Amino acid sequence: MADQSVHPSLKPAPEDVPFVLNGKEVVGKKGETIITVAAREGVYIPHYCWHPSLSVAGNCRLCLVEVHMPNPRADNKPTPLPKPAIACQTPVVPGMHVFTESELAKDCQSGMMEFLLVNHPLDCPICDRGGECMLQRYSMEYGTGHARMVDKKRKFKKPQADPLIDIERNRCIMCTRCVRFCDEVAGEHVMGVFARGADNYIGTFGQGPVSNILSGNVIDICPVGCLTSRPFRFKARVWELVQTQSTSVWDASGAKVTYWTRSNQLYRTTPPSRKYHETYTINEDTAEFIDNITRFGSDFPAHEDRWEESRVRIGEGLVPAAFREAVRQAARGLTRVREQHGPDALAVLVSPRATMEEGYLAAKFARTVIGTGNVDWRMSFQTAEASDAAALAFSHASGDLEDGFDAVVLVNGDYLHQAPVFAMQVKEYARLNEKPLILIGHHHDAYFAPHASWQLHCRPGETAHVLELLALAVRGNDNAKDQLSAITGAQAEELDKLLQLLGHAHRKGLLIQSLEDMNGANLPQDVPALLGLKSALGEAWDYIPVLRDRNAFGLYAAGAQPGRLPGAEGAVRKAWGLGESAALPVDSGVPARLLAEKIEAGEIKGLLCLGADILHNAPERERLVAALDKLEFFAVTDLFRSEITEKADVFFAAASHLERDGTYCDLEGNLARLVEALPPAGGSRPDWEVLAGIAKEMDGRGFDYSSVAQVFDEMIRLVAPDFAGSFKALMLKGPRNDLTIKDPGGARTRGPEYNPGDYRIDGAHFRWKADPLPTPEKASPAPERQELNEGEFLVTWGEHVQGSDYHLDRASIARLLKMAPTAEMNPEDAYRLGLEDGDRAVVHTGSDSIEVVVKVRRGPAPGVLYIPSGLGDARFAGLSAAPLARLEAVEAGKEAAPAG
Amino acid sequence: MPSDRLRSLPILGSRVGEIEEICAKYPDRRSAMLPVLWIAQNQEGWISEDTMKEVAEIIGVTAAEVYEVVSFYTMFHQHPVGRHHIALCKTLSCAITGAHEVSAYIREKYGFDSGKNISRDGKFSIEEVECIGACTEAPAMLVGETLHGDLTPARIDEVLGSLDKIT
Repeated sequence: MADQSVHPSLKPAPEDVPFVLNGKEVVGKKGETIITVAAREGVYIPHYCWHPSLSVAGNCRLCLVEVHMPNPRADNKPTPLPKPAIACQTPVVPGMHVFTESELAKDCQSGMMEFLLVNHPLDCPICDRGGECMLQRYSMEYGTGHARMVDKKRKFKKPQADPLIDIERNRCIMCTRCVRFCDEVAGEHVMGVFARGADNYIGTFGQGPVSNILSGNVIDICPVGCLTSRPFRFKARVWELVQTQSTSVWDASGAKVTYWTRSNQLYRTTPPSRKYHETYTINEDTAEFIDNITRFGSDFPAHEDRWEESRVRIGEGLVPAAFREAVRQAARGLTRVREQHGPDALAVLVSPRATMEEGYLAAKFARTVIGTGNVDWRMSFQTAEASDAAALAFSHASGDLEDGFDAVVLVNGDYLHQAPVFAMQVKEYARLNEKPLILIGHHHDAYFAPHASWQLHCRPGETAHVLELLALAVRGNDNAKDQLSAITGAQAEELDKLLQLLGHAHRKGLLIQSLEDMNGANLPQDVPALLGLKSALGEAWDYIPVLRDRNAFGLYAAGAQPGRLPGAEGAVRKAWGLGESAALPVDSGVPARLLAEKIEAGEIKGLLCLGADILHNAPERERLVAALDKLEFFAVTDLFRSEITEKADVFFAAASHLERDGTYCDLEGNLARLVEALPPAGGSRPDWEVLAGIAKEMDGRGFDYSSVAQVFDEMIRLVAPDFAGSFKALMLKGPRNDLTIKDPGGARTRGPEYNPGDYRIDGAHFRWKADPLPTPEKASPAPERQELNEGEFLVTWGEHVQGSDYHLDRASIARLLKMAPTAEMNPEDAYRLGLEDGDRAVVHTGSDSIEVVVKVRRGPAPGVLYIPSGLGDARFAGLSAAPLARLEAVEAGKEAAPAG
Repeated sequence: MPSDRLRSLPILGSRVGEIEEICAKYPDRRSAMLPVLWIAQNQEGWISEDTMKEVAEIIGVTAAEVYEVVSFYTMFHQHPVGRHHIALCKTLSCAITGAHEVSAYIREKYGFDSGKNISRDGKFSIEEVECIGACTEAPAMLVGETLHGDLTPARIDEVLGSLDKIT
């Protein structure tokens, strides 16, 4: 708990420190180190162990520089320090002179290189790091070029620790970046430095895996060939690969990625490659980490199940057909249903991973060509009310991490597994800048819990009540404070400190809420409650709702959901060529969530689905799949043959995320480009071509697009005015090649070629402008608490990125990305039941039971069990309240009791 | 963390009282790592992976952190040792006064197989260590925590022989 009287974040800004760097006068801030200021000034100091996102270790000694200090005994004349200093740890001091390229500094660098190479094997020809190895580069630049070492080199046995990360200890230079990454950024000290002196080696306890959704990043931050990617091992040399800068299609944080391809094949996926000698700041650098799903799961388009040409139904079977023929059949099918049953018997579904352009075209197609408002991408929400609450949340979204924050409040959610990079950035910003983290609700993310200044726990269903009480307490209502203390079990003086912190009007705060929690079961209450708190806290507070769906915000902005147009109605009518009186269905429309029900009731007769993943990953998948049989016409675009695509009347082979262009919007409202890294396989086409083709076939006007850039152009003119704030950056025209960079290794880097000088979207930021919601006058009544007996829990659940896309099951290492079903519980409960982390247990709910691995974390509230539902078990999705469950431990070595 | 949970640990559960007293001396439980490891090693003779996991749980760190410490200090044994553990100095003074011969003599006489550091009957284990600070009476060794210097075959037999008989 925070017990400082003045929180560090309230301290004044550090003062300036003028000093001389290589003869040039520069200014640093008090407390900064030489290497940080030098990086900012464009002076490169070689380093291995220093990393801007990690703590300073100071053990590689490569950043030694010559330092002269003002000598008070000699008129403050700069006098050389007796020994060179490491730039990564030496703070800047007024009047100091730093020399990074003097004879002494160069001598130190080449001497240190020689030491580091003493035990390093000369196996560059078979090392996967070759070509992007800092040891190779520094050897060339700072080394002597020859070895004087004649003795035998030290050799280690090779461990088989992690299925994804290869450890070759002989190559390690003991920079301990990986150890610090796991400890500080990923949040668990799973890697360590073992033994001592010359026998030092890195590894994991008991040769276990580095199990963490961010673990793959240790591969990138390893400056040498010690940690390399196992799936990429010995597959290619990096300089032979073409890099394409694109974006992750799973992580709603908007993580940027580089796809490395050759001969129509994807070889690996990494964060954007950092250019040699590039300078960076802390915030930029944490943005260079990506999650394991994006890193290791992107290669599924090469799976053998892929259908590379369009198909149409003839009798019982689907037979390959030309694209034009498939388009004709689809147009005919849709027209027939519309003529027989009216336009509202048709629905268009869009995958939550579709691009904004695809969403926009789907919205335009449904509303103008078909004439229905049935277009949606939101499948995961429990109820129509939850979908509406999410739309309300979107309309109030306003935050951007780049602006930083002084305090952050996170409500219910498994953020690390729903938006991994975003969660990491929030935690790292709070940790590095000592900003308070406040967790509220029935399930706190265990990733944040160890860093939390306050944790206010409650039962499922009570979150809204707690938020309302907090809002009232912030307004000075002591009665609300007492109730808050009673319901969360928080001490009165802790609450006082919290209220004092929240009450600072000048603070920039951030409220973050997961819309995934329990499939949105509590959203209709929780969203207004949190927005009420936001109003109580004042204008300095921003709000970011979090969804695991990559393009949730983009599709919302593009109008691909009932009740929303891509812009103001008048402008949309004009752009779509509709007169004042022409029909433009907006508010009518069936939410995707109710699709199964509506098909069963015979209200929906025809379906056009862009991306079968939305059906595959629906909470009530079986019911929905069965309902598809009742459709009179069903067209779908997807990559793979599956039980859903087999039911289609027309199947369009879709271009994968590697094979098409488009735009995504992340949960902070920033745009990112998806860039074509490979040509579409076989006869596959991007979804926008399918839509444009069908629309033209159905005599729709305004679908004559020749490139996705034209769609973007039309869309953004509508979308942009709908947002307040910084849209200038988006409209800037830039030269075509400004994003195309040449790698020093000579590899070709492709920029977004399809976007010929139209828009630079870097820095484009959406801000919605909704009126603030009023704080309630008094809190809603507290829900009654259920008595829990020994071993009884209330189950909550949430979706994981891993479970968000069935396509990932076809990645080459899908098996390794899968995690066993787990159940997270509070330490209090675990100890009472005698369970420890890693034990097996069976959870019984009603007539259902599921075997899980127990995780003991400070995340869930006492009496609450959290089960991630994206990990292969969706049985809790579809429920509207936390079910009561009984938990039974499974003794080691025994089989679980059969499901009863 | 409730202490009844810690008391149920199979290896260190019975020492929880002692351990809690040690932990109370430090502002941070993790600072108690070395003393707790000593308790474990004195009880078990060596520190197994299971012991490390228990220590980790008691002081609230990860097992990897405990292993870092255990593997750093050579005086923590990561493999079972004999009933009597001999730490024979191999540093300069002892080396030139015959530490190698002492080692060979002990290994030959007290039933060590070649290449093994534990005797066949498990009574003795031997480890060659760096300087133990007894250069004035080199060659020297520690048996358990007791120092024996000026080693000759007769002196070795005197020390180890008596231990041999006891057990």
